[in-house]
Amino acid sequence: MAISVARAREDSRGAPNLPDRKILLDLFERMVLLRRFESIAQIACRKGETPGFLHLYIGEEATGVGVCAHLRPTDWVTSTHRGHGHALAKGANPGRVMAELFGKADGICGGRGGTMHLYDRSVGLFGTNGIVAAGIGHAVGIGMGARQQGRDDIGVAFFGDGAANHGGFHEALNFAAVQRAPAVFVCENNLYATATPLSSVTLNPEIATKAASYGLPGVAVDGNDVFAVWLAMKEATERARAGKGPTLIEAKTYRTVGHHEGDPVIGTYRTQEELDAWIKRDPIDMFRKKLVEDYGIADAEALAAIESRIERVVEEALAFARNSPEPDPATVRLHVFADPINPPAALAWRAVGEMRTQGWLEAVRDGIAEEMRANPAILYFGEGTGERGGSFAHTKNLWQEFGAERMVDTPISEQGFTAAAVGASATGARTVSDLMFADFAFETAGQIFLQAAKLRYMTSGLMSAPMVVRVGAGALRSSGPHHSGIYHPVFAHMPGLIVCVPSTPADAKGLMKTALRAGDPVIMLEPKALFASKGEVPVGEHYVPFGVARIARAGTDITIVAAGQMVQRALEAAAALAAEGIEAEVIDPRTIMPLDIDTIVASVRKTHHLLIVDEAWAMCGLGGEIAQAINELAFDELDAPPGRLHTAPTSHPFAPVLERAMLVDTARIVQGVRDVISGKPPVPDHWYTVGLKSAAPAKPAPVPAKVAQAAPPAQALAAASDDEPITMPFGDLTVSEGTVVKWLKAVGDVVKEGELIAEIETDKAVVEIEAPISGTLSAIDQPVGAVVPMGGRIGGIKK
Amino acid sequence: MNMAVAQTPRLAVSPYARRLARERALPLETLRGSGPGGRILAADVLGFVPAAAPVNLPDIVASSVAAPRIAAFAASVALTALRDLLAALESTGRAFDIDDVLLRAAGRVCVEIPDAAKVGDMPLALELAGRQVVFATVPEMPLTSLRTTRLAALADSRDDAEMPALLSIRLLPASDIRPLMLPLLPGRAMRLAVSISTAGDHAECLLTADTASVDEITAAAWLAALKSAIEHPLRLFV
Repeated sequence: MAISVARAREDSRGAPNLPDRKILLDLFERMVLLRRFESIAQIACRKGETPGFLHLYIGEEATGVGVCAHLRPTDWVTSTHRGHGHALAKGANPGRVMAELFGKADGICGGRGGTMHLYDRSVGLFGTNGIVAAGIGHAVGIGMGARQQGRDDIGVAFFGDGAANHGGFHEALNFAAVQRAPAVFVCENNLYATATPLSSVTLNPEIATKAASYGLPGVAVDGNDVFAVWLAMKEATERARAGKGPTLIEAKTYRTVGHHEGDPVIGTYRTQEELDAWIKRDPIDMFRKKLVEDYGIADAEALAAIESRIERVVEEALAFARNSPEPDPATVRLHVFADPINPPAALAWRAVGEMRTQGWLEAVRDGIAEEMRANPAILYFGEGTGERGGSFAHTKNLWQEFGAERMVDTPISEQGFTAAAVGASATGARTVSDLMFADFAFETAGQIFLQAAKLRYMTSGLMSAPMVVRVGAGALRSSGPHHSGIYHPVFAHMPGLIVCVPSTPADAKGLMKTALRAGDPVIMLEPKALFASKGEVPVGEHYVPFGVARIARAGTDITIVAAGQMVQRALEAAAALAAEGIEAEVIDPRTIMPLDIDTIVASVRKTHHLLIVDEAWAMCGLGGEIAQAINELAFDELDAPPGRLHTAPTSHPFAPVLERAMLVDTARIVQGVRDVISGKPPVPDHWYTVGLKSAAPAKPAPVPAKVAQAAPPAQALAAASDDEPITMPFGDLTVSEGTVVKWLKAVGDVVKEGELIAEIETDKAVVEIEAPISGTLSAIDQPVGAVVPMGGRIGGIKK
Repeated sequence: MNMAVAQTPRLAVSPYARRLARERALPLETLRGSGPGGRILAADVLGFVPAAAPVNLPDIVASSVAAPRIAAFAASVALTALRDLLAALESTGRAFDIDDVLLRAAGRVCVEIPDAAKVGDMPLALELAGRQVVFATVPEMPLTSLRTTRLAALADSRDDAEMPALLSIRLLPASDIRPLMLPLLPGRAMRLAVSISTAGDHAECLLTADTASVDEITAAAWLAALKSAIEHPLRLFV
């Protein structure tokens, strides 16, 4: 047996300062696994077996393997679009990863995630990621969350050179450094961000040196030397676990394939010479040579045995993926929210006990403090919410009680600390990301919409990010264009986000407490205009469930739906209308998502008239949403068209007189109610078609009737013959066909597997067609000049 | 499309008013709308007082406008399959009357032809001697419960004539006749009259409909569906 032969030589030739022989052989085996897996995936992609497109890790194996060799299953890595290698290096099952690439039910994310969204809780894989730099901050939060839970597990972020010019990188590194976060940042510098050379987009291409800006160590290593990566990561891991803070490792490496399958390997932005130079430095070949010749701990035979074992592993993975069933289409609606969406505490019956008159901010603050006392894993991230007690004094005394480790004062890095909040909340901690103003949420919109909201769905329910995004929202006394928005329809539009707009101190406290126990990300929009309000608040445990509206005033003649600060305006209007003999019912939905439409329907069944009053804008907004829901659910109950009143479709002006003109006030609600009851609801003009009407554009010229030629399915072209088909490979999403430009072989020629036999030109590049098997070219189905769809047959080879 | 129909000005009615009028079998043409552009509102329906019938000199134009627009359809329904099935069930100790089956079939048809009922759970009324019993949830109710409810209603003396229902069902005591005309009952958009032959092998059915509430196409489809349901009775027992 080859291994025993090698072992026999271990003592005589093994270098004394090397790590255990098993570690080195494991590094080799892992790299081979990554390489062979990707090669098989590449073929499957070209055959069209994998939906979507793949970014392969070929050439970069040493980095992922060298880094992950130091990690436990309870450490987490965050990854990139080029992340299959990270998944496998971290220990994910090859068959289930392959099945995920195939979009199959047995994939690690049940087919919901796919190549760029591979998550596996069991091995600590926090997602390959379709968004550049998005995972860097997750690793920071993962480390901080583990530390808060008393573990020395760490978060490790993989990212490319492209991400080093992204705000997510800089915000995360700075935040991690100042927090001494147990994290390691691993930049895989493969010299190109897609097709853009690093040297053309920064004057400092030495990425490791960027660490100095944030006061953390940065080291550059040969990313193709697995042992060099292993050594650098060993030190970085020890530092992180020991609480000494994060390290930036720049691994200089190269992908020897295109950016994605279908992207040309060379030609448009890389040269053959450059590629050849890097292929000479292939990480597996270099390490094989070292193991045999320098370290002398294995011979070629032993390594070949490892390779053939891995060959079987990837073949089994491929067969597993092919045989796995498609996901059941009936399950498509599952895993958007926790089911049930409310935590048990919010649904438990409680006797109404002692009440206390409290201000809004004090009530919510008490709720947060109660939850933080109950759950030591709650972290609060915010700008000035620490010792200072918050810009609105909304976190007063929390820092004094819970300390700087939990009441984390953050830099003004909404993206950085919200990413950390996502990472921590998905790995056992809970977080509040306090963004101060709702407007600022857009600084970290990607983390909210693309990461937190989608996590449960992408993972088929195996993971979620139960974080609270807390912001002051809505207009208040000339706060101006950048500090006045409420935006709840924008958030409610995104599947996976819970959106709260409370209107009383009791509801604000109760919803916040529910949010801190919920299973999903919650957008807590607290109307600033109500911060100075007071109300009766239950003392102690008080939870308000999501999706349960409050009837703020009962009435019989019209239903007014209003949330947040509009509830008070609606109640004032209802009082005025009562004097006219109109009894309005005011419904406060409290949460915009989930929306308690049943309560609104029940009210309309009683009043037969509906007016929606909302602080957000009308376009694609709450008024249209609720009115149409009533059309669908209770059309026969309507005695008049529903009306809607929204804030005027402008930015928030500064001048008080303009701001008043923009907002919905009590008088407008009173008039709106009269209008709906008289059968003529107020007609908005937010469509902005008036200007178009006055300057009607010239009639557009008729579009020439170009017959769209749909590419025929690949199977249709496959001639029924017993030869091995030569096909136009699948590849780029944006390319559907190519033109045959050259046949390098003629019918009857003997060809070898892998030999170049034809060239096809697509809109993007020239694709070289290789012989799929060795044999004799038996047919040329598509002559030079023919246009061939992807996957289409162009010829055949007989064995 | 019929040009005459196309040229008729559309009657503006709020959805709620339309529903109230349908439940009361009030022809919308007889109502005056008080809403914008003459739209008929709920208040117009609820406040409607029928004009006293003129004793002399009937105004032909006015009465032709006010007269209910009635459509009537007749069908012979074969009962042999049902008779056999009922006999088979009875031999296993489960007795049902044709009244039960008729109610169940009518309920099912209301779900099948939603245009007639608008909502699936539109109740049905069974005419008994001088009174009506309204069944609210006929489509969902198991046949045994339906029968229990019906027998209980027979035993008491309540009258549901004031409760809303889409149609009333009348099982005529006379056999071997073919009903040709029967008036609608107040508040009912349709009335189904059924006469069973002495031999028990077929029934003659008449469906009268108020076209202000249920158009003739829908009413005809409704009767056809009922015939099909009774002639293939197995579906009604599952």
